[in-house]
Amino acid sequence: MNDSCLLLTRRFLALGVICITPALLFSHAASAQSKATEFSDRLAALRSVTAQYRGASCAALRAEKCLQLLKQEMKNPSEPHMGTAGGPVDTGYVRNVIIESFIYSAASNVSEEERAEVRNWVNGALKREQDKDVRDSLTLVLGHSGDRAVVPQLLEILQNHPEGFMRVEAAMALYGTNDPSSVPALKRALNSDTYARVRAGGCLEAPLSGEQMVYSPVRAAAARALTRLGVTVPKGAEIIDAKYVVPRLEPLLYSHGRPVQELMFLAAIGGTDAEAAINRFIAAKTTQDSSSDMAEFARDVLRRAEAARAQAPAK
Amino acid sequence: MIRSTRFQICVMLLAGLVVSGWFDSAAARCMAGDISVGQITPADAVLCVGQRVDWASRVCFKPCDPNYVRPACYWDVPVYDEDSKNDPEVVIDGWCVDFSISGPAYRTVPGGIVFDEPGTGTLSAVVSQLDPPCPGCEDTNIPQPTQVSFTVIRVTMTNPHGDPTDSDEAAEDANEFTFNGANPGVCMIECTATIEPDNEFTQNWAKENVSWSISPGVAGSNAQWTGPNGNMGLATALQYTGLPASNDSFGNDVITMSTCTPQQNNIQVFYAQGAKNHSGGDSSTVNWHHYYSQTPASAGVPYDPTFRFPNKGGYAKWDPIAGQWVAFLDWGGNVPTNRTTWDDPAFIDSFAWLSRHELRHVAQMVGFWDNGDRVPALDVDGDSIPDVLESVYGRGNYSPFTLATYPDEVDYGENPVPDYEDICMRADEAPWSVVQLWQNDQGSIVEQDWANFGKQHKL
Repeated sequence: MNDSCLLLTRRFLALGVICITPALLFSHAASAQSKATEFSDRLAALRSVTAQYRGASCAALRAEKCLQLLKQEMKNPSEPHMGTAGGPVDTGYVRNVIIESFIYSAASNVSEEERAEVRNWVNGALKREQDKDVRDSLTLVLGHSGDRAVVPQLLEILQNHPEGFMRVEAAMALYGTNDPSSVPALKRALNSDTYARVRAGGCLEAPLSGEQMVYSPVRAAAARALTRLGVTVPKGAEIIDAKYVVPRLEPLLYSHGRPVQELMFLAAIGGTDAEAAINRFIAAKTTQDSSSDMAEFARDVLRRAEAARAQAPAK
Repeated sequence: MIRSTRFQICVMLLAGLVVSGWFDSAAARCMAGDISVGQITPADAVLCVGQRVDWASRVCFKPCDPNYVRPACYWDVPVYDEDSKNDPEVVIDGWCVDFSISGPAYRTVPGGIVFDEPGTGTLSAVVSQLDPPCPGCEDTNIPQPTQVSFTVIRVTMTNPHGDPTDSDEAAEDANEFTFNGANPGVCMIECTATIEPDNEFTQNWAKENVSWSISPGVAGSNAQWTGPNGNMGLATALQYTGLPASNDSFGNDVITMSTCTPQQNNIQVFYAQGAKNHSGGDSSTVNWHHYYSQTPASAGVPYDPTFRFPNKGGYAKWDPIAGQWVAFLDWGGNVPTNRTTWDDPAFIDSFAWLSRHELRHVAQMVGFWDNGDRVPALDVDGDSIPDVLESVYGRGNYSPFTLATYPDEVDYGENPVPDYEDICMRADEAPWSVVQLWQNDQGSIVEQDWANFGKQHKL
């Protein structure tokens, strides 16, 4: 730990902010283990890490802490839930976030010094880590740091990894490497990857239409990487058919007793598959739990969505 | 005579029951009017299961002494059980009356008896001795039997039932009642009871002796009992029409079934959260916003009636007409957010969080853009943060070339999270936050959430 990081640590201690030791660092997680939302603990711990270890001087420490969290997530995956923005926040999502938190490659202050610090640390970690998932994740971190030496591995992950969230991360890492040799694979991903998510639009944007809600984060990341490489990408290239996301959302309808948000997003997405999923939910609720009012709520949501679409201006 | 057990019995004699002539004849043998069955009315025909019944208050024996000054109907007739509880005796100021009961089992309790099961039965009594004999009544020492028939009933409240504050979902439809979405909204509270034995006599008896009431009721809503006998009988319903103006009118009430043994059940009254039938005069505003706005959870953020899909809960925008940044909540402003950074708020807490979150957006935008609209030329990446501020504001080091600089560590649900959202969400968290905007599950607030769905509905 260099001087500036020590100084930062002392400041946090002076402010009464608990930090540094892993046991204390994860005290919040330990105290909240009784809660069903494991992801709460994981992301809270991650925020604690990234709030404390900022900048080049703390890059290696942050990476070390992130790796610990990544291993915890792999060992004890977060239970999926629906995020506010509409997509499933599952263990893949959490792993994406952790991997990207090793180094904030898009942040304006990520200096070459910090990138080098992270690269050095990751290369050291790769010598001791044997687990393939861990090694793949560390390779992605190298890509985020701009290390072109790992482009072949990134392309392999982008094209062949069975997990969509890893392909997302590979495409994002290829943005970091900015290597022209990745263009063909990025183009293929842009045109064919079907890993899907939902987005709601932010608090300052105009509402999205249903067709805009479902997108492929792999395609989005590929588009961004291609744009940086000078390749023109048509607007909306990341938008994909709703049918790709419905299978990921439908199980969330049954993950807890009041899937209000899940129903609303499925209804908003619309289309045959989403409506069929809602109707299956209604049928299940009607037959399995006659006292449940969720079936009526689901019908109401469907009606409202249809009315909203009917009122929407023609395109 | 060992007189060890004292108890009193209340008997309400069955209409049309047989009060075969013993009491009367005994009285005749004694002195007319000195001993008689007194104050027997049709209503007295019924005893109630589980309730201590007082013999002397219902079947009264007048003392043979004409000069006796005690009330004609005693409350404290001493009753003794000499041998066992199956053969009790009643001693009335010198009259000793043996009696026995056939039919439903009973047990003696201090000062009375209790029938534990419903049914019909007969009470047989014999005057066995006078101790001391009253003047002129010596011949009443001759045992004379009599019989009275009675019915022991059990009235059981079947609806409402259960505790609205527990997690018994199977019972919640019977203790949580919601105004429907019609305009005016209607809330029906079904009130039903069963009676044992169930026959024409007891059914008719119930029409006049079982009544229903609610306390305190839904103030500001029009209440009407809709049963065939109003609020009387074994089945009726309380219909409220029109939602009240005040949020305080919803919530906890007690339904009371008044009969031989009054019974009560707690209920809760809710409104349909997504309907627009509140009495606030603005039919474009959903109920949850109207009523939540009456609580401390409100931050004064108005409701946007535009039906927006997908739900976002709320948003902030530049109003070119008013020339200011404004915040709104929309249809999803009370939906559970699953947001870890806010500790998973739901319903009224979602409302509170989202209201304050959108106002934070407003405050930030006012700061970013000098209380004016965004200037695209100064915001290359379109993240609503002026490029010159991206590296210095909040956690800092946002990229002026990237809409979303950082991964979604704040559980926003879209990765990476747009900068303006990250900057707003991060403002709730240490070390960037100054004060927490809201704390979930504040007791006084949770207790004011009467939405269905809401914090207190179907717990």
